[in-house]
Amino acid sequence: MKPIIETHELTKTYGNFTAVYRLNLHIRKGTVYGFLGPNGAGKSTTMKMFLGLVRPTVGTFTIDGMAYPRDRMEILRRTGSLIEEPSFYGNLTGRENLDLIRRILGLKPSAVDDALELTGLTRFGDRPAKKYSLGMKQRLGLAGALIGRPPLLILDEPTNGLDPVGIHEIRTLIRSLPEKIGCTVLVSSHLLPEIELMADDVGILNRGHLLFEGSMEELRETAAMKGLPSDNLEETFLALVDEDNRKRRPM
Amino acid sequence: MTIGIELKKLKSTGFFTSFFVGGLVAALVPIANTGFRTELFTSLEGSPLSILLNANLQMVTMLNQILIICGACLMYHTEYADHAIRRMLTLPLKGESLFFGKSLLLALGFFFLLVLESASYAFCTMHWFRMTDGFLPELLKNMGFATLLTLPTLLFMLLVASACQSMWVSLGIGVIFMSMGTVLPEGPFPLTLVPFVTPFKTLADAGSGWAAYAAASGAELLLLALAACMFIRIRRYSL
Amino acid sequence: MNLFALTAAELKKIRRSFILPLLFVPLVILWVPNIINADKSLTPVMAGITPENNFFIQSFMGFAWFIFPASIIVCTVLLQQLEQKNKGLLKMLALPINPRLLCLAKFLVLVLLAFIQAAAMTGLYFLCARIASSYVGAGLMAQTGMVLRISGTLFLSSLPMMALYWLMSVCLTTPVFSIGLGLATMVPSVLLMNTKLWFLYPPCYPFYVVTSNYMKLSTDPDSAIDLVPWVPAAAGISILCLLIACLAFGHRERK
Repeated sequence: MKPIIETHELTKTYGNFTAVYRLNLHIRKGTVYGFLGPNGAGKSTTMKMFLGLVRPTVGTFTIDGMAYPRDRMEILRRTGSLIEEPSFYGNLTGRENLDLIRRILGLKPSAVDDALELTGLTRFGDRPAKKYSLGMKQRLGLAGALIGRPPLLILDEPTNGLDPVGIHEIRTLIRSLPEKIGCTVLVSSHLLPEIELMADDVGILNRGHLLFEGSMEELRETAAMKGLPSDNLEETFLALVDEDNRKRRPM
Repeated sequence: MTIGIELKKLKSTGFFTSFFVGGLVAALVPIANTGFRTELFTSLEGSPLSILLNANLQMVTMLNQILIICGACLMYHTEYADHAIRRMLTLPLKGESLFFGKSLLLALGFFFLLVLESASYAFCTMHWFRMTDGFLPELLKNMGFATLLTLPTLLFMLLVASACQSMWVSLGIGVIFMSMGTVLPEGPFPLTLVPFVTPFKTLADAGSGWAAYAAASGAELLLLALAACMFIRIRRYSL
Repeated sequence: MNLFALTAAELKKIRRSFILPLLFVPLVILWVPNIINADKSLTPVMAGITPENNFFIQSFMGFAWFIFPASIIVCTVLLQQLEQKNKGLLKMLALPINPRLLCLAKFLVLVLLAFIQAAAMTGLYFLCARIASSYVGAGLMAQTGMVLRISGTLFLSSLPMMALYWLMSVCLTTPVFSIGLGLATMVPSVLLMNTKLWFLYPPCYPFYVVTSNYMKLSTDPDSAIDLVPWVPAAAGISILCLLIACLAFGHRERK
């Protein structure tokens, strides 16, 4: 099956600093793809490139057969996103925030309630967003991404700021999304256990380089082959990153 | 649709209250001024409107500019404060429509101020002078001229507000330009074309040079719109 | 901590905060066109005034009418913002410091900033008058004693205005309104200083001082500002504003 997101040698440099280097990602349709890496690995930069918020220096990517920058508008129409921290208008209520997005996307009014319900915000929909707790803001950001049930979701560390119960709920929600609404999810995190619980496939990024791409099982096999710890995936991840750091001089 | 969305974003920001209260205060200036100095004004030569504009335009224009600065800053503050603009730019929405939607709303706010101020001039003329047939055409000409001369300032301020993620920087730039407006109106022609300076010119001040001012403002408007279009394209990549 | 130690600590907070450069930019904006248009001072509008006094007083009128009050307003809000941003005030209120004293210390910083701007304006005057003199080929340097006296009075007369703007920045929760309202209060200064009750309106004091001196140097050499009821009213307004500001300071955070 052709991947929904495919990148070819995708690179982003800022002066002498290389944020993402010759990235070749393959994200399968209808799966949850975990994008894993330490802080500053280039995860957000890559996701921003997919959304047209960062211009690639070299390389190309396609989303559902559509190319950037030619089909930018169509890509955005079919992609729900949450990048870095939640984005909202503090002076408006949660419901009003979602209604703005709904109107821009040309969706039915019921899409707002649907998004509120999916993220457990129905009770707080009419409260001004600036009065939300950190976790509620994160949920609002997630609702803004989920509204209209788009075929592709790009979520950058969506569990940031949530309490353990919230983290569990959001993980369960993300895990269920491919089945529930038939979408593909690209979700980033710097925590492997989190990705392990949510994702079908994983891509490990360190200092802009893709160290591994494949299923969890393949990750274990690769680690065993390299003589890295394979019984605990957290240790596998740390060992992979550490090995890569030792190989590379500071950029 | 864009206007509706931009209008909704301004809810609970204080934008509407500011323009309403500010407009009333600006409209009160000519009334209070003429009330305090009735004898002086009624003894002056010239049409009532030119006397009123001479006496009040500087104060009224300053109030208008304060509202334009605050309005533009508020409009973009709501976008930047909680990163809402990032979500907006990841939606299938043209960046230009965001900017020009806000421009149109701010211009409408400015028209509202002009309407209140025009009503105030009309009231002063009726109450302390004598209303003539020539008053309305003269008022419309003056207000049209004021609009044309103020629109570049309005667009400039919005461009500044859209460029600065911190509202304090855009507010500071606005106040600095306004300071220029209070010291430069007497300077040579090119200096009087600087945003925040031009609106202090009345039709009577401009005299036979009114067409030059109108043309220069039109050109400035075009240039600023082009600059905005170009800037919006880069903005996406710097958030 | 006493008031002076607190003020010294407050002064440290404005390091790298853009406040100081912000005080100087408007002065450059004021002086450049003043030098370019210096030849206009040779033919004064008002009778009786000498060209050098005209050059001096016109420049200071521009300063007192908008630039000085506007700079004070921007400073008040920036000083407040330093605390609000990253919740610095919450930390200060959690320390064993009297919040009223803290408020007063901040006001003293504002006074110091205003003094720096007024002093820079006066210093720049001596420099620019020299440049303008050689530019137009005529002496445009006014008497030093008079320049220092008027600029000193201008600064002192602005203290009640500073207290008023400080109160507004403490009480108005939305800073943009604090600036907007502050700027709006400057506009009717010209109107109100022509009324009998001008002494009840602090924003017009600095401009009133300069225009009175303009009259004194031109058409009416014997004119002088009546200190009563001005000084008692100004003192009363200042104390009242500072008192309310001190009581209201940090109130929102302690609710």
